[in-house]
Amino acid sequence: MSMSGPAVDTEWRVPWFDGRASFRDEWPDIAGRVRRVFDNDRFAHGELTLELEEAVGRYTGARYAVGVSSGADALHLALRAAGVGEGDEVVVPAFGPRSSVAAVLRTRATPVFADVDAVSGTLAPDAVAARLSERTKAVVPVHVFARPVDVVALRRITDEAGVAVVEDTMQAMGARAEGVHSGLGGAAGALSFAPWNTLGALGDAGMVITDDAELARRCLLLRHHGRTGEVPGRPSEVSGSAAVVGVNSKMDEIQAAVLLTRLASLDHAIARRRAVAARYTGRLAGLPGVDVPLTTDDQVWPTYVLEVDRRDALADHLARAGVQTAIPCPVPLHLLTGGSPGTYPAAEAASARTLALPVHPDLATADVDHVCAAVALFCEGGRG
Amino acid sequence: MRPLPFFPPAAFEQEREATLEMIRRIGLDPAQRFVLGPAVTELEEEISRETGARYAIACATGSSALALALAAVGVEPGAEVVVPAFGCQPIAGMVVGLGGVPVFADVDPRTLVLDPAAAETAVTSRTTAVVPTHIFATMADMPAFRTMAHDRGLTLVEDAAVAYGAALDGKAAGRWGDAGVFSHAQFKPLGGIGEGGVVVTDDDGVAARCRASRDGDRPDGWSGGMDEMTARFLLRRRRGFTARMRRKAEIARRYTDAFAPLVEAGLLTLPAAEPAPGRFCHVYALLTDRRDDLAAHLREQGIGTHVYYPVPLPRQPAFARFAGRARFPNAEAVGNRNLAIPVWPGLDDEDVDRIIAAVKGFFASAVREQPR
Repeated sequence: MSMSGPAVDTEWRVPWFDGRASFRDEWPDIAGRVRRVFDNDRFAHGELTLELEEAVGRYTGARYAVGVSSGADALHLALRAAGVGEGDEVVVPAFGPRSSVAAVLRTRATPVFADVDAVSGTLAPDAVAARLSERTKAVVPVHVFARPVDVVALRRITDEAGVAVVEDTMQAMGARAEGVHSGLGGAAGALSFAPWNTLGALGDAGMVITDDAELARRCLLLRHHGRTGEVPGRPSEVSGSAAVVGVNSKMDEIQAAVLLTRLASLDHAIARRRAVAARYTGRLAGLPGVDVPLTTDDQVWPTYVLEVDRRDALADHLARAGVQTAIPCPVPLHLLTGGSPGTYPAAEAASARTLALPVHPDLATADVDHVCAAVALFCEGGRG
Repeated sequence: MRPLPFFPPAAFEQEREATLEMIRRIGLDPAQRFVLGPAVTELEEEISRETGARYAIACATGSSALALALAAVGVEPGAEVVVPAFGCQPIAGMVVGLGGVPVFADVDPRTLVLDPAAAETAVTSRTTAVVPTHIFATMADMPAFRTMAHDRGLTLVEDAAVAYGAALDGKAAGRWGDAGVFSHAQFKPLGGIGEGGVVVTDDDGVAARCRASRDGDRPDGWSGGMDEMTARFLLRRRRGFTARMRRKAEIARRYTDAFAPLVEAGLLTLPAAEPAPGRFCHVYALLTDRRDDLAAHLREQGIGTHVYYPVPLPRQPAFARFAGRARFPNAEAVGNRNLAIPVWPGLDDEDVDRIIAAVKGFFASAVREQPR
């Protein structure tokens, strides 16, 4: 088979994530905050974590923001604070991250899967309605690829059933639907600040956002072993006793330092992501065998996800062209926990067809064009 | 006179510039690995080498290390796990988190560690594991627990959260059971610039299950790896570890010598001076009936103190439902009577003398004030 189309530079490398250029600019500010951490002499859950909680509260409009050690912990604590525990059922999409299921299993509740919408890839309200039972305590819409779930439609179903909506907003810091920040359409939302997310740390960190004072109070208890009344730096007289069984989920102060710096330029970083996504879509739309993602004004592009007929072959082809990609959900979640193939067809199709391209803010236009050329070569040149 | 807080002040100050440079390098590293990267692997190898364990698995916190270890040795829903009544919440909380049932046993009144005889009586046909916790300055009687675990068919998880670097009969803390757990949070013996924990084990299966759970390969995983900057910092802090622990032991010895007359007079007991195997020096605690007055007296003189675990775990609302009607008089007594005094390596001899004088001064006036 002869090669057709433009040649692809075989020495070119486009990594999944490379934040070095931004980090160089951010470093003086981050270093100043890290010095404050040393001055305060407190390296987990201190002044900077509290400052970040306030800043995220202001940015998202959440009344309460509770900093924890990871996005997975944020979802786990939000579920527990919403009353989920042993014997309960929690509805989760069959297409999504493993961490959603892990967060449910850690509460000792049973995950119940529901199919996703074939177009949006997010939890389908009708599918949820069919999966509710008397034991259902919560529904976890996952904002997979930061496509906002239609929480309003979902709540028409859950409110009637008396079921809490706890949103796994994943990487979707900055995403809003109808002006409401992702995670605030239900009882609570879990934010992840993993390094490649729209707001990312130099390690793991996460946050629960909510407007519910009681839910926030329970999260505060749960993140520090269930201890009551602890004030940072000033353990109260009852801090030696646990009111509930909790976990240790403190945010590292140095991660809070990094996040405070990056939150200040988050909108700029999101604008850069939007420009990269727009260029991808402009160049890839219409190629045979590839569907570009739905584009809406409120998307923040933590990942740029194609649907591809021959997904694995394209991933291999891109790897040979030096492009790192990711498969968002290699195995549908119900199949990880003993379910049968064919149960959730849309989730299974999405799982087999989706491929995420690099979309970080520092990605150069030339890199985007290299990726697009490689995809075009695959689609039009019959390679792979 | 400078204030002498309980927790070591500015302990990482001499690392400040190097830490900033280290963070800058991690941010600019072409590999862009921030969690479970090369520094974490290097730390795992170092901890394996130092403890002699075949495997070390570094994760996000000491609590999650304990959860990983418990799950890996087979603690499942309904499994009973024998834990000490005196200690920190995760000892019981992580068992409950896995759906297990903590069964509390009392501690030895002199050494404050889980009493093997009490633990033995707590074992039932549903018991899966026993978790001795090393406390303050004393390792639990691990040979006795090994024998018990062997004879009763239990797994043994060694909670060495505060005992990194300690040893008993020439064998490192963490190495005595099916798995051992260390914490590397800021104020632990090998403390970091964030949260972190490590599981050590010689067992292939336990190591593989801990890794799978940590890495999110299992849907029921506890998840969460150690980050690179914490691992890099801990690798750096290993330098000087022995010297810091030696200085702490020296301070402890001076306390023990100086307080001997108070012990003889029946005013104090010193857990760190009780004969016990596996001595180390993390916390130097005094036991006295006049704990709160002594704390107030020391505070007036600018000396910080700390009360550990004032409420026994089985009496805390979170765990009361697992305690039944059992009573834990030793855990109650030590909760009411312990007062830990500063023992950080940056204390100079003058500071130590000041603390000794303040403690002695309190009891001298206390003796004078006693009704005739």
